[in-house]
Parts: sequence; C-alpha cells; structure tokens
Amino acid sequence: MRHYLGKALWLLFGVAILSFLLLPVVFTAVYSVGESRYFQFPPQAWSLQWYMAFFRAQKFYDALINSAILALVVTPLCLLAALPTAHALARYRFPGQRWIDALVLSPLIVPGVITGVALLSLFRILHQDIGLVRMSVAMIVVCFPYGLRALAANYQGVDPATEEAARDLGYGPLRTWWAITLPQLRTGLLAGAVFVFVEVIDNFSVNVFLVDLHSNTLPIAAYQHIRDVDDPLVAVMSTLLSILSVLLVLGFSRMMGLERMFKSR
Amino acid sequence: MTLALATPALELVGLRKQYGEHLAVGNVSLAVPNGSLLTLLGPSGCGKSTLLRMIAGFIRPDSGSISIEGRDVTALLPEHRPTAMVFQSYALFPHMSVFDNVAFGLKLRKLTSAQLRAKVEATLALVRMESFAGRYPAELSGGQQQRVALARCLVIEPQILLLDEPFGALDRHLREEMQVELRKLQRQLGITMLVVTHDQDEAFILSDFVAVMNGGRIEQFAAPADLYDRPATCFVARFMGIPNLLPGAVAHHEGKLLFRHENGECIELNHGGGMLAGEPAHLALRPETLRLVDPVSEHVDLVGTLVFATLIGSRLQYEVDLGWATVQVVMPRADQTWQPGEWVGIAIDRRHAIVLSA
Amino acid sequence: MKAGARVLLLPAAALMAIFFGAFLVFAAVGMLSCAPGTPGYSAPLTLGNYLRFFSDPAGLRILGWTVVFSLSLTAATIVAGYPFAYLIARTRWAWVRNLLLGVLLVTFLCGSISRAYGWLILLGRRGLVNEALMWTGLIDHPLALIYNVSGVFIALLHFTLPYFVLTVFGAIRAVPSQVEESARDLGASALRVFFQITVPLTLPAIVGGATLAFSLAISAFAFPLLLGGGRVRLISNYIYDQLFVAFDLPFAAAVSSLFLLVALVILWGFFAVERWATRAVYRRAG
Repeated sequence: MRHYLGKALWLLFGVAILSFLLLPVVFTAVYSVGESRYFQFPPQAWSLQWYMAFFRAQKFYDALINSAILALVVTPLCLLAALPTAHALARYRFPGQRWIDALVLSPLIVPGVITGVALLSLFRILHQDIGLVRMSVAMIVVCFPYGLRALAANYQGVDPATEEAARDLGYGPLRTWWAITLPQLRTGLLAGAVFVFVEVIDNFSVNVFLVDLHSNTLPIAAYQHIRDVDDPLVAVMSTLLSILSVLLVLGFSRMMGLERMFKSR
Repeated sequence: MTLALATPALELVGLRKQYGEHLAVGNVSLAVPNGSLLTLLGPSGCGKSTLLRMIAGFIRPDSGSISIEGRDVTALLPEHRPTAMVFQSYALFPHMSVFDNVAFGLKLRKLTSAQLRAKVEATLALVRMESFAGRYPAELSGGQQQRVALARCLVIEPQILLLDEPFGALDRHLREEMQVELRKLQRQLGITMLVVTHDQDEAFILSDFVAVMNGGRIEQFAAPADLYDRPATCFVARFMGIPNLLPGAVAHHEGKLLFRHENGECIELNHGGGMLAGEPAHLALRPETLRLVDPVSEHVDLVGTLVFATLIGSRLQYEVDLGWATVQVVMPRADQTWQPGEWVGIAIDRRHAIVLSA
Repeated sequence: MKAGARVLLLPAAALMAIFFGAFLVFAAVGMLSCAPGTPGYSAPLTLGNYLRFFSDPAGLRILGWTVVFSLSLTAATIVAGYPFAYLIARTRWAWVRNLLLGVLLVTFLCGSISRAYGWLILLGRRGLVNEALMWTGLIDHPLALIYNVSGVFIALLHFTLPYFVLTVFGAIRAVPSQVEESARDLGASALRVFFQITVPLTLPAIVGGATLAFSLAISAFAFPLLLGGGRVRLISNYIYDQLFVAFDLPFAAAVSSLFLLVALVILWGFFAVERWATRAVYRRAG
C-alpha cells in the first residue's frame, strides 16, 4: 500500500514539474495561433494571421537578420578559438593550468549586465560605435567558455593513443589532428555550436548595452515590442524559437542521444 | 650472441630517461637480432613501457642512441621511424571502419586504390578478420579489436613491430590462443618484434629472448630456458617464481664450494657462479627440486617443522619452517604424506640449486 | 610552458585580454565623473562614485535584496530540482527519461525573453492561472502575480531549474543503483537511503548546480525587467537605470564593480563549499 502511495506521489511530482516547465511554452504557442489580440483561453478562433504579421513586421525582420548575422559570425569564430585552447588544456601539462582553466571560464560567472557595462566602457574608449561589431566581439568573449567546455569534455574522451597510433603510422602532427582528432570531436563541436548559437540568439543583458539604433537583435526587439505593444507578435517569435528547439532536440536524440549531449555541457 | 655478426634489427646504446628524481630508464643497451621476438619483462613501473615508447619515438631519451637496421633514428619523429606499435588499448580509430583503420597507414603511399584494397584485404585475411572489414571498432570484441590493431601495423610492413601489453585486456583463454597465434605469425612473416609484458608465462610462450627489467635497468637478457634455469639475480629468480631464496654466504673448504646459511651450517654445492669466499649470497631453490625426507636420514640438507600442506591437483605443496627461513616444497601426492607439526628434513637436488649474489 | 602550448593558447589569451581589459577600463571609468548633460565623462579621478553608492540607502538595499532573493531562489531550485533529477536518473523506462530530458532541453534552448513572456501571459490578470483559480472558486478577484516579486520568482525558477537538473542528473546517474539497492537490502527505508546515501554522494554536484543557479539568479536582468514592471528591481536593473535613465556611466561602472566584488565573494564561497563537499565524498568513498 505504502509502495503505491510512493509511486503515486512520484508521478504527481513529475507531472507537476513537467507542466511547470511546459506551461509557458505551450500557452505562448496557443496565444500565437489564436485570432484575438489579447490572450484568451481557450481561444475563440484559430488563425495564423499573427504569423503573417510577424513576417511582415519590418522591425522583427531586421532583428532576425541581425541575430542571424551575429550567430553566423560568432559561432564559428568561438569554436575556432576554443579548439586550440581545448587542445592545449588537454594535451599539455604546464604550471598554472588550473588558473588558466578558471580564468578562461570566468565570462560564465560574471553577471551579464556587468560584462555589458564593462565592454561598453571599453568600446567608448576605442570609439567603436557599430552595434554589430561591438556585439560580435562581446558575444565571442562571452560565449567562448560554452564552446570550450563542450570541446574540453569531448577531448577527455579522445584517447591520446589514437593520435600516437597515427603518428606511428607515418602521419605528421597536423595531419594526425585533421584525420584522427578532429573527426572524434564531432560531438563536442556540435554541442558547442548549439550552446554558443543559443546563447548568441538569446543574449539580452550584454547586448542591450552594446546595440546601436540599427542593430536590434531578436530579444531586444521583442523586449521593446512587449514594452510598447500588446499583441501576440512576440508569442509568434517565441513559438518559432520553441519549434526550432524541438527540431534541434529531436535531431540530437537521433544523432547522439540526449545523455551524451548533456555530458558536454 | 651467435647472431651478433649480422647487423641487429634494433640496437640500443646507453639509453637513459629521467623524470625529476625518478629514473625511468637507466643506461639500457640491447641488441635484437633480425627476425627474432624479444620480450621486455618486468613489473609495472620498471621502465619497460618507457623504453618501448622511446623506440617508437614518443619519448626522447636524455642520452643514448637507438639504431634500426644500422640507421640511427634517435632524432627522428615517430612518423619517420620504421616502427609500428600495437597499443595496450589498441587505439583503433573509433570513427573509421575496420577497413579504413587498416588502410590508414597505406594512404600515405602512392598506391592505386586497387593495390590498396588488395593489400588491406590480404592483411585482414592474415589475421582472419576479412569478413569484418565493414564493421566499426565499437562493434568488435576485444580479441577482434586486437587483430585489427595488429593488421593495421602489419600492413605497412614495419621493420620492427612494437607491442605494449598486447594481451592484457583479454581473458585468459583468449589470451593463450592469441599468444600462440602471434608467435606463429611472427615465425611466418619473419618480422622483428618487441613485446612488453609483465606476465612471465607470456614471455616464455612468445620469446626468442627475454630482457627482464627492474628499476629502469635490464637485470638479465637471455633465452627463456636459460632464464628459467639460471636466473642471474635474486630479482629475476623471484620474478621467475622461485619462492625460496635463502640468505647466507659463499664459503670454500678443502676445494669444495659451500653455502653457509644464516644458521651457520653449510651446504655443499656443485657450482657457485664464480663467487668469492665470504661474499654474501642467496641460495635459490625451486620447490619442485626439493624433497621432504626423514630428518635423520643421510640426505638431509635442511631441517624444520612442517607447518602447512596444500593440495594442488596431483601434487602437494608443503611449507616448512626452518626457524630462520620458510621453505616451500612441492612433491607428488603419491609419495609419503607428511603431517603438519612433524619434524622433517629437506633434501636439495644440487643440479638445480643456484647461488646468487645478494 | 612549451612553445606549442603557448601558440595554441593565443586566441584564448586575446579573448581574455579583451574581457579583463574591459574590466580594467571600467573600474577606472568608475573613478571619473559624469560630465553633466552629456553621455561623456571626465577627470579628475575620484573615489566619489564608489563612496556615493555606500551613502545611498536605496542602492544598498537593492544590492542586499538581490543577494537574499538569489539565495532563496537557489534554495527553491534545489528543492524542486533535485527530486526531479532523481526521477529522471532512476526511472525504469528509457522513454520517460528521454521525454523529460527532451522537455528540459527544449525549455533550456527556447530562450529567456520567450519564457519571461510566457509567464507574463500565464500570470497576468487575465492569464490562465488567475482564470483557473477563479473558476475553481478559490478566489474572487484576480491575484496580482506579475509586477511583483512572486512573478519574477516563478519565472526565474523556471529559468534556473533546467541548469540545475541537468547538472545534478549526471551525478545521480553515476551512483550505481546497486548502492541504493544494497542499502535497501540491509533494511533502510527508501527515504533513509535517499537522504543518507544518494544525497551525500551527489553533494558536490548539488553544490555545483546550486552555484550555477545562484550565478544565474544574481545576474538576472531580463526577467525582473519584464515581470517586475519597474517595481521589482534587482541590482542589474539598478545599474541599467543609472546608464539609460540617469546617463551616468561612471556611477554605473562604480556600482557594477562593487556588485561584481560581492558576486565573486559569494560565488567563491560556493566554490569553497563545493571543494569541501568533493573532498568529503572522496574521503568517505576512499
């Protein structure tokens, strides 16, 4: 009897947390496909008109382009910087390594607003006013630890003996890295790319200090819209992002299994 | 060495490697005849793997030289040395199929794809893995992975094949099978091989020569049978599974060689390895070469109390307390059985008693 | 250090130079004064801005409140997150595990503004939560759930939960279920096993996850901005206001420096506890 009670409690708890996690996502989606300008539940009529409106809205279109540019510039650069760092940390032993480890990860710890203000001070001194440039530099610095952590975790799983075996079979250090190490880092590169990409698309607290009049990103445009207008355009944006995340997650569980993905976070 | 006139396949001169205070390899010199199989045998941490990795080129020696077929390779990077290594973990490339793993080393040579395919398939056939060419390493058993690792090395026809604890990860049955197979393959191909192992039996099954290592140095270099019959040091004797090493000293008396043990009594010996009188020494006695006898008979060399008897199949292992040392004796079960607590004598077969400097 | 490693660390060094260079500049900017009426600032160097913050009870209150708020949020995250992580790690059905992990990951990936917005809809006066409560007859008038602390708290909990659960889940998974089973076998009750075996063994991960949750909470900016409606302000919002309402970058920089110091000291405390917990587990585990 007590056994079943325990089971039931666990079930209840699981369902409660699950709904807590899903509720905002689900209801944002419901809101986005309702006809009404204001949130109603259940919606009285379904419609995709807000989706049309979203894609017609110039400010969201511009923000989408800006966010995309930012993500496409920052993600590869972050990983390119993280690759040699992960290699050095994994394959060399040197004094002060633990300090370097901590130092490199510090952008993760510092609150975003502080990083934003600090970088703003720096860019003012350097007279750099172009929002996209400022945000690109900031995002590379801020997201670097995400890429590094994913790759460093992956490096742990690459047996150095496979690299030695390639050397032994006649491959030089660079060719060995290219033919043996890099292909084994696929998981880490993929996970790192996703974490960096998501952070760049989502970042608000750093970018809000660095943006200029012409370079609103999606979160900033969304914030301004929520502040000024009451309609479901942001719900549309959120729902599109959620769909993108669901597709990404399904892709991962296909490609490498979710558990492995988390190991590299 | 009888083959010393020909250029050795591998020659090490005065190799040395030190890590801080720790001497990993100290002044090792060695010549491996062409087409033979040498085993580096020793406990973990004795420097055998360091030595192997120096030969492969992964570790740079502090001093000394390495020559392969007469060519000094000491300064060469691993990729430029004519060696190939089978790693303890096999180190198969997890992202490549068996075929691609084996073809990997050949990709650097100018071969047509047909030649490459033929060579890889022939080598896979050699290790009986031809039907697994399309599999990935994760889909293979330990023994199969080992064959692939071997094929990956053999296919590039190295002058020397290095194997680091090649059978360590296999279960006993498979290990014995693979040992015999490797030995046959080595004979068949006539390739020079260097195997690192900590397993004495494995060294005996595989080798033409065995180098026993301890503390970064070679304690003894010999053919397996010589090693078994005539260990040169106490360390080797112990490693060869001789549990009885009685402390004492060498003495000469009226032209006879004596071993005076700690108790003050003497045992007359046939040979003493050219040792000087008074020199401290150990007497190494294999349990199988000892016999329990009546303590008052004339053959008695040692006397003591029988403390324990263990049945090992058709034989019995006795433990005798001499008062100043404990001795193991192994005898067929059919012989007279002795009871624990009894006062017994031990007779030594002098042909197998070995005196070792302490 | 070998030359090879030095070359490989160059990109990281450049990025760190930008990051820490920015902090140097900004600590210095904190010592300048605002040029009135302009977004610029000028010498002389002074500690005035730093001193001004200490003499400003409103600012100090916000900083103190931010710390208290973040600590409570961390505690709530642990209480809700640990059993959930346990559930994911120990469920017998792989599909349940994959479903729950997938939901966590989707939540984690779909963005903070989206989620804050979602809660804005749910918790608003005409939102689902109020509708539901009124329908059940529990309340007559809509509760004020947004533009106050509870809304910010709920939404931020939603934000920190996936981070914490994903950190702890791996650690629980790493405790062999045989350890728990053998304890049950020896007569311990399920609750006892949970609190005396599983929790202590995963303590380092709990502290690690809590550190993460705390650092997210204390950095919170967008959530109070959207759900606090100007009434709930954490220190990040205070700094933002100094910059974009008062246009006083030097003062914003000074407050940020002090805030950073406070945040780092507390995080250092978390790390110290984590190290202690790790050592304690390893010692016990031999």
